[in-house]
This record gives sequence, C-alpha cells and structure tokens, in this order.
Amino acid sequence: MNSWILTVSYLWKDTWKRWLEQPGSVLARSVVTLIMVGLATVLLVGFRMQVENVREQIESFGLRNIIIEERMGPEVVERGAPTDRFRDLQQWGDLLSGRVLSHVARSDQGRRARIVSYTDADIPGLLSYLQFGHPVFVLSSDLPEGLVVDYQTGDMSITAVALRMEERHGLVFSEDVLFVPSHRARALERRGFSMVYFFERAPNAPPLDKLSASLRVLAQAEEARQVEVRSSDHLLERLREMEEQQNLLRLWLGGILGGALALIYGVLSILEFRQSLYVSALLRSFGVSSFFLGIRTIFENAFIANGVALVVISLLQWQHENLFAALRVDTAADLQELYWGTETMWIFVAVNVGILLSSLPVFVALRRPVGEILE
Amino acid sequence: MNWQLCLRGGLSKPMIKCRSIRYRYARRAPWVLDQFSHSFPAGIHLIKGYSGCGKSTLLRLIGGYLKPAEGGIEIAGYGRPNKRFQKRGLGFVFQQLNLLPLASVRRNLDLAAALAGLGAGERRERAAHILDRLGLSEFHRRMPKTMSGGQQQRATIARALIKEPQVLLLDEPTSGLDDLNTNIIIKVLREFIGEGDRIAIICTHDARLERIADELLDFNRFLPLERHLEALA
Repeated sequence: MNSWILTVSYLWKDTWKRWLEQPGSVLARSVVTLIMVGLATVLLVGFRMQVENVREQIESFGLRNIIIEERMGPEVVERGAPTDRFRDLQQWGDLLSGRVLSHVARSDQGRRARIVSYTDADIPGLLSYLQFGHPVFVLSSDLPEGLVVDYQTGDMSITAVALRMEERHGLVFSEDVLFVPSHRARALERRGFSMVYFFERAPNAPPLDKLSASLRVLAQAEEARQVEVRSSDHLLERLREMEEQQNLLRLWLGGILGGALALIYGVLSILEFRQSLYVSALLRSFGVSSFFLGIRTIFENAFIANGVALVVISLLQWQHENLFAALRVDTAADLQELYWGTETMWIFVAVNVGILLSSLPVFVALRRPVGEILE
Repeated sequence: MNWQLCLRGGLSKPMIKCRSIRYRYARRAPWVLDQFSHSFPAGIHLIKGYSGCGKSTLLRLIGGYLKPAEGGIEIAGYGRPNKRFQKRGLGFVFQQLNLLPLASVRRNLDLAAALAGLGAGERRERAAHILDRLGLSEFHRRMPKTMSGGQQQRATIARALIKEPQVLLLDEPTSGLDDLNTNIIIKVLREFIGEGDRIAIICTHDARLERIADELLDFNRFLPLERHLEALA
C-alpha cells in the first residue's frame, strides 16, 4: 500500500469514528440539507411544470392561430347590435365562425352536443363541412361519419348528420358540436350566445402579434361586451416572462441554498476540525500536506450533502403524484426530465459551491503551524 | 544573548546551521529564542535547561514545525526545513505520546515510512528490526491505548527511526520512564547514530542521557537572573 492509500484509509477511520461518536453532527447536516434541497426542488420543479404547461399550450395552439370569443347578452341581441365586428379577419386567412348558444342538445342515447348556429356570412368558413349537403350536422371526433342522430333541446327536435371534426377545430370545440342554420335557432339565440371566431393566419398576412394587438384594441372599443382574444403570441409573451422568473428563482434559490449550507456546514466543520486538530497536525508532521487534509473536509461534507440531496430528490420524484396533487398542480410531465434535468443541476451546483465555501475556515485553520499544536 | 556550548569531542562536519534565529509565540510576547546561532554536526547533542527556556522551540524550528521570525536554518541536503525533509530526512519525537490513536503500532510505523517513500517490503523488514531492538516485537498489532506509557514512548521512537532519518529530534524522550526503558532507548540511539553521518538533538532534563551526548548545550546559562530565581523559588 502506498502512503496515499494508508493516509486516506486512516482519515476514513478517523472520520467514521467521529460520526459514530457524534451522530448528531451528521444528523444536523443531513437535516439541514434535506430541508433546503427538498424546498428548493419542490419550488423549482413546480415552477418548471408551469413553464412546461405554457409551452404545451403553445404547441397545441399553433403559432398562427387566434381565437376570439365575444359574449352577446340577451339585451345586445334584443337591440340588434352588430354581432360580427371581427369578420374582416377573413381577408388575412381562414376564418371559422359561429354563434355558440348557451343551450346544449342531447341525443336519444343521452350524448351531449354544444349548439352552434351559423348565418350566411359564416358559410365560407364552413364549406369544408357543408360540401356534403347537410345544413344541419354534428361535428364529432368519434361518431361514425354519415350517422343520423336525433337531438333534443328544450321543446325543439333537431336531426343532424355526423361529420368528422377537423383536428384544427378541436382547439375551439372540446365536445360534439351541433351546427344549425341561424334561422332555425332564432328562439335559442334570443337568450344570448357567444360569437366565436377561429382564425388561421395566411402566410402573407400581417404578423400575428400585430393582428392580435389590433383585435384587442378593437375588443376594448365597446366595454359593455366581454371579449376574449387568445393567440399564441400572448402565450409566448407569458412564456418569456415565466422563463425570466424561472432564471431569477434559480439564482435566488441557488444563492440561498448555497449560502445556508456554507454557513451551517462551515460552523460544524470548524467545530469538528477542532476535534481532529491533533491527528491533522500529527499527519502534517510526517509530511502530509495541509491541502490534502483540507480536501478531506470537502469530501466529507460533499459526501453527506450530495448523498442526502440524491435521496431527497429521488423520494420527491417517487412521491411526485401525491405531492403535486396536494399542491393542485398538473403532473402530466416527464418526471425523469423534471427531476434530473436543469433544475437538479442548479441544486447540485448550489450545494457543492456551498460545501466549497464551508471548507474555507478549515483551510485557514490548517495554516496554523504544527509546532503550536503538538507538544 | 551569548550562547555557549560544551564540546566533548567526536563531532564531524556540520549538518544543521542555525543563524541568528529569533522566535516568539505572539507579537508582544518576549523572545523565546533571541539571536541564536549554532551549528550541529553529526552526533548526539543534548540540550538542557529550565522549562520555557526555548529547548522545545528550537527543535520545532529545526523540524520546520515553526518558522523563525528572523534568521534562518539550513539542513545539509535539504536547504531550509521543508516537506521533503519532514517526510524523508527527519524523525521527530514529541514530548507527549503522539501515536495515531486509531492505528496499531505497526500501522503507525507503516504510515510514516510510506510517506518517506519506502516500499512495502522494506517497511516490513525495517519495522520488524526496529521493533525488535526496542523490545516491541510482541506489540506490533496493539493499539496505542492498550499500551503503557513506556511502551508508547518506545513505539514513538520506533516510528521516528523506521525511515532512518538524517536528523533525529527528540523532546524529552525519557521523561517518566524507568531505567529499563531508558536504557533500551539509549542503546538504540547509540546504534542509530553509530551507523552513519546522522545527527540527534535531544531536549531533556534527564541526566541519564548525558553519558551518550557528544555535545551538551546548557540553555540555563543564557537565562536572565530573574528566571533562575523563579526556577529556584
């Protein structure tokens, strides 16, 4: 065995003995790491999940779509106010529009469908469905095409032909949609409806952010109406803001985590070093370098801190469903990527920087001459 | 301060040179060593004196475990006391029993010898020899806390001797030891010094060691009068 192995083996024995004699010191370091790393992981992973959620929304929404939903109350319908002030959008791309009524229809089998009435002005956007020659049709993602379905709403009976809903329209409608010409649904329209526009921007149209900004200005023109304009640029802006907040959170949490560990490990390390002062001095008297003995403190603390951090993060990953269900955060995410990705890297960097800082007092103490320690 | 020494002859070329060394333990404390200059040739040097007169401090300075505030120390072949000297060229026996508490006697010797660069076979051979010379053959597996003070002291000397250092510094190596243990140590020291151009500096109050010294340095001669009165009071 060479001197290096002999020295390391003796130092390990010395450390192990100290741990057995004073388990409180190891326990204190472990508990502090457990709390700090656990808290940082939950916060960072939780925030990451929110960011991923927005990212998913952008992906599913598409980068060239705008959805406008304008609520028309019975009084607006009564006074005959214009109900299609966003129709000019069709000059910049494809526009699907319709009046989503507050009523729902139910089939004989109890299947539910949202009722949408359409006027002549809405027909260009519905041509892909109307080409089959059925003015009353139900869009569905699972009903067999061509199936005739009888619906009932209030005292009104409607017979519709089932058509397959185009995938892009699934962004607007999350359930079966019964399309009825407006003149057959006047009575239902009088109770109010939501005018819905689904716009797909053409390549030569103005940029999406400019279009949606203009639409928002237009939407605010008449305050009495409730208008919601949804577009991916809005989500992109939100994503940018969240990513900035995420970086800030990483920095702050990393700083707090590293600082707290440096402080607590530093205090405990110097107290423990005093106990092994004699052995360290004796080894130094044989020619073992102070740096080597200082590294021992770093290894000891890094072993505890990284070990505890690994266990905490693994446990949190294991308990992810329960934990985030309690926090009411959606958990549909890649857990491996969430827990062992960038967030974890930040945590481990903070932990190890804290450990390095905590060992500085020991390196300072190791500068004390051997001749002042050994007698 | 003037330093005087009493030579008994038999010394060869100088191996350690101390030039105008000054040392004190704190900034405003009195100088423990003040302008100390001396050359230590090969042989056994005995330093006597009251407690606090600077004997142990001088050994620590030569060993490189303290740094002089002023002046310098030069070791033949090493220059100033450094890590290489501490690993290979120096054997130091501290006043207190400084064995590694969690290592057996053999492992204590092994570690010091390994740091001096000795291979496993050589370490084994030397350990067996030195432990035998010091009457510790049966104790090589024993842990320090299971041994008597005398046995521990001999083990400490064995650890200093296993690397066959050029310079051996011993601080009160026989304090509290009976005649039997002291005689064993004296015998081994004589053999060690007799084997080559080696130097041993021993700080002691023990008059039994005077008979093996080639040079006797009496630090008491240089103490101020009030320290003598303190010591006699």
